Amino acid sequence: MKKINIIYFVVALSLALGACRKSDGVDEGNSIFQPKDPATLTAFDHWITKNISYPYNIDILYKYTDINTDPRFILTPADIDKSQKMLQVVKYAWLEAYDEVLGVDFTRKYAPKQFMFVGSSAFDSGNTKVLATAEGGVKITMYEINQMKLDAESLSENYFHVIHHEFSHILHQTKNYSTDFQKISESDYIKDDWASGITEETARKKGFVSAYAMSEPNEDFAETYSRFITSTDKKWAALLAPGGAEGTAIINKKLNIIREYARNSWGFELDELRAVVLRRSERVTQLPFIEFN
Amino acid sequence: MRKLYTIAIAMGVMLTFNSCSRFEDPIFDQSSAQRMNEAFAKYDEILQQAPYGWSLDYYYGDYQNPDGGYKMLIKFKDGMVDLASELTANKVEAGTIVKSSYSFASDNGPILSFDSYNPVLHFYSEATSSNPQGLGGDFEFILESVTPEKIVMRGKKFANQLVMRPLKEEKDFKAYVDEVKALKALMSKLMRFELQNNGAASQTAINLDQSKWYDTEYPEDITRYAVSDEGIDLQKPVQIDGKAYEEFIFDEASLTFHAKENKAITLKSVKLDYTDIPGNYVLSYISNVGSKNEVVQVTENVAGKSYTLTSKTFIRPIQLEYVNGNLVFKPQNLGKAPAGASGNLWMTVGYETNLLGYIINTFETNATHIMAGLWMRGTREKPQFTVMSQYNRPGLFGSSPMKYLGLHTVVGSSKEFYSNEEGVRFMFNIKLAKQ
Repeated sequence: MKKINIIYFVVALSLALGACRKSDGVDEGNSIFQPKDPATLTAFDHWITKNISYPYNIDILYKYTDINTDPRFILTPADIDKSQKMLQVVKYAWLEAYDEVLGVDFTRKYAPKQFMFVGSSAFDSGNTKVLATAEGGVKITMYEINQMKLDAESLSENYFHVIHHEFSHILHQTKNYSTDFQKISESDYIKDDWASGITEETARKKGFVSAYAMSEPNEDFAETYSRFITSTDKKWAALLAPGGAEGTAIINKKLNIIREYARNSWGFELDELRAVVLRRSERVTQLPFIEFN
Repeated sequence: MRKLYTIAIAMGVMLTFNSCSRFEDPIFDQSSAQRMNEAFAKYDEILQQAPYGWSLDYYYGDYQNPDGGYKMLIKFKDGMVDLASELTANKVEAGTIVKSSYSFASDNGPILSFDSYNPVLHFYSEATSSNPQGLGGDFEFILESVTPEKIVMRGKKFANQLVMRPLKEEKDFKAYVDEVKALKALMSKLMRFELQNNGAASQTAINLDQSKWYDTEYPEDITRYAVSDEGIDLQKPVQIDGKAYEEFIFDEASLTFHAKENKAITLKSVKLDYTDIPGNYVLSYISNVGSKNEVVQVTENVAGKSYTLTSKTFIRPIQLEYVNGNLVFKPQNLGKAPAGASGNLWMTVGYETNLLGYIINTFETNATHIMAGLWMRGTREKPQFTVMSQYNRPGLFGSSPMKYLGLHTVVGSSKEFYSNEEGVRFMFNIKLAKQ
């Protein structure tokens, strides 16, 4: 009986929905999403269209739109001047690094389609702050744009690392990495507990590049990938040191799986990408920045 | 169960019939998107066409008990604003113009959004790890009414109502801010105003106290205001003799405000002279041992500056200062504690207690927390004072500050409460009524 009733209901409902197709006047000539008013487009907006949106098919949201931000956080918009610098930095040190190693078609295809810049930090109630988020491989939100300094070390630590981290999620969501990876530290993943009292040293000893990497295998993958390609040899050695021989061996095991993954799934050498990323990160502060007014 | 399905089917059938009336008469000629875009174009025109820019009264924090208002001055032009504030924020000096962008959006209704960073405005929205809500200020506003004379809007996240009014003359923003500061300095020496309609004195007195307007009979019923270059602008209109008023112009010579729309409605500054105050008073209060009252004496001490209040409640005579017609209570050392206790006995001032009833922030050798006895009721001959905190710090038990006077002995750095002979350690709801 139950089944039949449901069928009746579905029939009635579809009649209701289908019945008015002819009189539904969808207004296709006007959109509630306003096209940008040409009068308010700045030199920077035109630069974005020409240098980012056309070649890479990426939309840059440097002005605050509530609907594109996470409602859990109280945030401030990004400063326009900082956004201009940051975008040129991201283009040179990130987009063009992948162009150089894998060709522009790769970047075009896999780079997230939206970049949202937010001025302030995203503090949540759990005493942690979110550095960046990636949503379904489509959008990357970068926080703390207003605190940006044109300094290679701080750019690498605060921004490049997180963009590579988020981008590596897109890569593994597109083509999965070997299941051998998650077996390496299978019993050491601890979900949200990474934020409460796990020291960086403990993490390293257990074979993780950061405490956050201990949350789950995908974060471990992204952390290992991004920490490695954004760290100079010296920095990488310093990162590994607290883990001792045991920790280092585990991290190297993970790294080798990532190397193979890059080679077999995407056709690039992780170490080559790293060399390019490091070279560009080093030079980025000397870029002839365009000043828009 | 079966009945439920029958109802569901019936509803489905009803929907079917209802939805097919082909002769629906549209209420509007244009689509919602088209109307929204046209409204934005019109709003933008109004914003840009105010020749001298706008003054915005900024309020932030809990909308039921907001902070502010502070004047911000804004010019809108092709998606960009020139914005300045009467307050120094993020190291940007008061009155300095900073550029940023604005736009319109539609989500919770038509929204005016200040969508690129402006250190002056976004100062109120900056979260920290210890305070993830920031100061509770908005930078996206739901436009509730937009006319060339006045724009009323509401903060999207924190829901404070803000008003923008067009400036009437070309004025440098810095000069405007300096005039606000000068008027605020002048107003800090005034507080109580007699409300008059056409020169006829009413029984009503209004206090204008640190951006708060209230009838002295109803001090909890507060309307906030921002000081302009020529008077005060209220956050919401007040009713006077059945009419609503929200802007008042100040005349420095007569120390009188008048309603902008009606010169007959005036607020005339009144205050008690030093010599009006001495006499016998009934001191009443609620304490840790219940309601109490006592007849006390207020006598002159330093001429023009202070008084001595003699009572059993405070055990020893205490000092009160005369400031702009009000009585000021500051924490003070009352000398050696009586026999049986060591150290010094202090009269203390507090604004909140912890859960055990202890007063927090009380013992201070330099008084930063003071209480003032404000002339709230009664006549010049027989004034009645209500002792209120001069700091608007929220207390633990809600938004209104707790107002305490207390007694304790201080031994070294530790505190011990000390009771007078009736067991009173601390008191609140303190009133002084002249006999």
